Amino acid sequence: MNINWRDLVLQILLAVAVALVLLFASTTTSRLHDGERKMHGGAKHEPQASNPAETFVEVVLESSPLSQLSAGFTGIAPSMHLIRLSVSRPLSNVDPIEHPSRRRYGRIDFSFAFLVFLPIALIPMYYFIYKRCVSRGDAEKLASGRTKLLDFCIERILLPLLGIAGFVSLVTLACLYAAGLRLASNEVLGLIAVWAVTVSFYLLAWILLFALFLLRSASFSSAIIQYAATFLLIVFIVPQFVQTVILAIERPHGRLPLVVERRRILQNTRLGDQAAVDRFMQRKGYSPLDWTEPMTEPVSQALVNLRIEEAIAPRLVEFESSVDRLDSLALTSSWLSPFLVAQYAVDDIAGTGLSRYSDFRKAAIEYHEKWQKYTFDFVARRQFLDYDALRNAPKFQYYNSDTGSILLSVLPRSGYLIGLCAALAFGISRQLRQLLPQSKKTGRNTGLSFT
Amino acid sequence: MTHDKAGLLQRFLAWARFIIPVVAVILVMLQWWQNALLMDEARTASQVMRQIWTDHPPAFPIDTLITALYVPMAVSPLGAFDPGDGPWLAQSVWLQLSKIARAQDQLGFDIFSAGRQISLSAATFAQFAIPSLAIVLGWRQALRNKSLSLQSWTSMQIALIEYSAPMVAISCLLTALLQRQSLGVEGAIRLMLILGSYVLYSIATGTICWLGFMTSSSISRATGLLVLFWLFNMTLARPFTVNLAAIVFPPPNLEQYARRIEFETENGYNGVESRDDRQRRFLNEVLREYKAKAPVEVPVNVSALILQKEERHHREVSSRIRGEVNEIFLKQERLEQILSMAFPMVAVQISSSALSATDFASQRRQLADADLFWDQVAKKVYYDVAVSSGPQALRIQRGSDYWRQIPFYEPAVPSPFWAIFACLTPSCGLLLFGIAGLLTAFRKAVAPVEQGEAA
Repeated sequence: MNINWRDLVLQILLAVAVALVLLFASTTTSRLHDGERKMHGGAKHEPQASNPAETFVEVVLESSPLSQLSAGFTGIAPSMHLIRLSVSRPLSNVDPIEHPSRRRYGRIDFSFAFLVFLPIALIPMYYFIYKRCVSRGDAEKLASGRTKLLDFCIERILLPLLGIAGFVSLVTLACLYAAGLRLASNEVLGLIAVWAVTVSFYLLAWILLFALFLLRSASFSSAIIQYAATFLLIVFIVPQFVQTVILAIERPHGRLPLVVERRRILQNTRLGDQAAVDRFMQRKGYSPLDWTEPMTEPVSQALVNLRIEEAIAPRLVEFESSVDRLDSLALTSSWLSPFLVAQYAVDDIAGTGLSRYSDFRKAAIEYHEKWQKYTFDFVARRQFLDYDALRNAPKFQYYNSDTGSILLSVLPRSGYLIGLCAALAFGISRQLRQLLPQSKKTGRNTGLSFT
Repeated sequence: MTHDKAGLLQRFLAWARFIIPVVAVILVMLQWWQNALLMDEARTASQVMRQIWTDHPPAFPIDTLITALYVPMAVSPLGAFDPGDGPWLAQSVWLQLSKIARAQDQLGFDIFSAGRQISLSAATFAQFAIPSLAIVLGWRQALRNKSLSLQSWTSMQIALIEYSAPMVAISCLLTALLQRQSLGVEGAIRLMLILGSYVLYSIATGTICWLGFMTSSSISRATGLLVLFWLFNMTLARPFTVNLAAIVFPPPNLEQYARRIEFETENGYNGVESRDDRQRRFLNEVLREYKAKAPVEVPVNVSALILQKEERHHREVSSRIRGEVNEIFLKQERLEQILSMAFPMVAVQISSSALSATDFASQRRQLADADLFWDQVAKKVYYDVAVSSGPQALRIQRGSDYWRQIPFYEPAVPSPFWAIFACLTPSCGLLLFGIAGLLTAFRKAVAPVEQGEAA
């Protein structure tokens, strides 16, 4: 048996590289989530002091059970908000200590390994398959009709690819198991199955694309260049360009201008402005305060804060709607690149997607509004919040999306990828029809040849 | 090369010659628009803060020191070319100056959906386009004539520069032209250094592709390997270096960091000095300084001096602990710079953002300058309170007139010479690639001459 040892060693090295990247992705994601959990562990979920001017709560988005599948927006979008109960500065983001370049470039997770690394790793795999086909003269046999197309596809392409897929699946399962993922319920199993289908069709699209380029150009080097150019376009240029355009259309406003604005309003708000306070109370549906008794400092301060909140409310609404518009633009534009389609689908399945973080932000805002109302009732009665009042204060609640709604959001994206594969398969079959019928008639001089 | 292939390639290159600079110009315009908004935001906020600083001063000067002051960071005028680590989230970084700010209050970057994807800038586009062009040009040259001669190396470099120089030069010059203010000498130095780093990158890229195509026996294999190398550079190299740096030099956990600041602020860095002990030590220091035996003998406000020392203690604790974190970031960056010698794209990314003053190191530099300013303010305010108010603190200076004596902090982009330290090692790596190619070409050029003389 003639074994090409050099190719064998290269193939083993490639397999080791794939396994190492998957392992690295798994450990990086686990570390990221550990960091999140530690940060959340130290969060203060309850108000600690009876003075609302000094106390705060940190509302937390719990880790998703399938977070190992994709880091998504973990560590990028805030999973913890600091809510000051003095209502003076709500929703400060709590970020982990991290070098920004790591946040920018360093998210190697399973989605990166499957959606970015594996399409690149497929290039040497194509090369080994192609080389074997050339050395066995498969193109000539196929063209002359000595080998059937179906046999060729199954024996020379499908079987090696299945071997590779089997290896990748085993390594993935081992990494996921080591990272602590357990099939605890049918829901988890179902979501993992949808994840596997989505990722498989995404990778199949890349395989079919290369086959199409190879058939069209009949030159391996030319096909590689076209494949690499398409990869760059789909994975980098289009998503990043779209991002630039989105940011130019709807540039996100910072929270700090709001902080500055609050400071400015504070300078112009006087503590003992009775007429202004009474007008404010009437606007809120309460009767004017009784000013004959002196007002305590915390109540007076809380009133100032509430007035500032009222004054700044339009800007807050503008800020939040700007974030919403950005989110919706990001979701809409994701359909422009198959890579983004797969990325958003995988993130949604993993529970680390944009929609979950958006829902969490909205829930945090809602909680803050509830807290304001709760505080206001006490302030209107000129009462100060004691420990009993804090104990009965509204608690933050966030419910994860159910599996059905996750699947509903993922299915159109999976359908997109399946449609893409079907279109590419159709293109390949057309290309083959152009090349193969001649061979049936003449048995030689077909356009099908590998160089 | 077949006639069809040659025609297709020529058409592609002719198209690329026109379209690549056009895309670069569009990207500069889009990024400039964001940069302009960012600058406007910073300027408006700065004006508001300045107004608060001078027109609405706190009744008591020390009140200011216990609340946070937000100062917008200076936006780099070259951010339109390479937004770097800063406005990739389209946000400015703000400086927070405060005595009692908790770690959780550090606002830093605001995060939006933009965070997951990096936006495409002219710099990123150039970093992708140059190796892509080098592969195509090297492929064309290998199909025409495979030779390791000096002439072949030179023609490859000239062809690559011919296609890539307009893109980089136009985008850099457009960035400079679109600025509302003159870039000045420092800006000009930065621009020239950026152009220089891209020339080095182009030479290194051309050399790698030239060596790959000219030394390999099969064009298919060479193409495959070069495509893999550059795709590795584009996708995996930077994630690999940043993650490795974070693993080798891990930053502390946010909670640990916050607790340490809290603990050391209360108990001293060794954990044995209680607040009362510290107050006694401060009082003894004040008495020694004024050679007095009792506080009543001190001619100035003793409480203010003790407060100043307490404030100093707080700032020392937070500066030391924050300094340790900054040291970790610096080590991470150094490791990345060394690793970048093997990855040309990482090298040019580091150099480009450092020279554009949009990297994290430049932002930290601004933060350090702001800290220094705050130290001076705190020193002056406490000194004035202690000395001018008298022992009973009856004449504390206050009001707008007092605050107008202290100029508001003027943030500025750090000097380009700071950036040179960051991009020296990566540039050396790029230079070594170029020298390796040149030496190979020279050796092959000299060898036939020697053989001829021997014959």
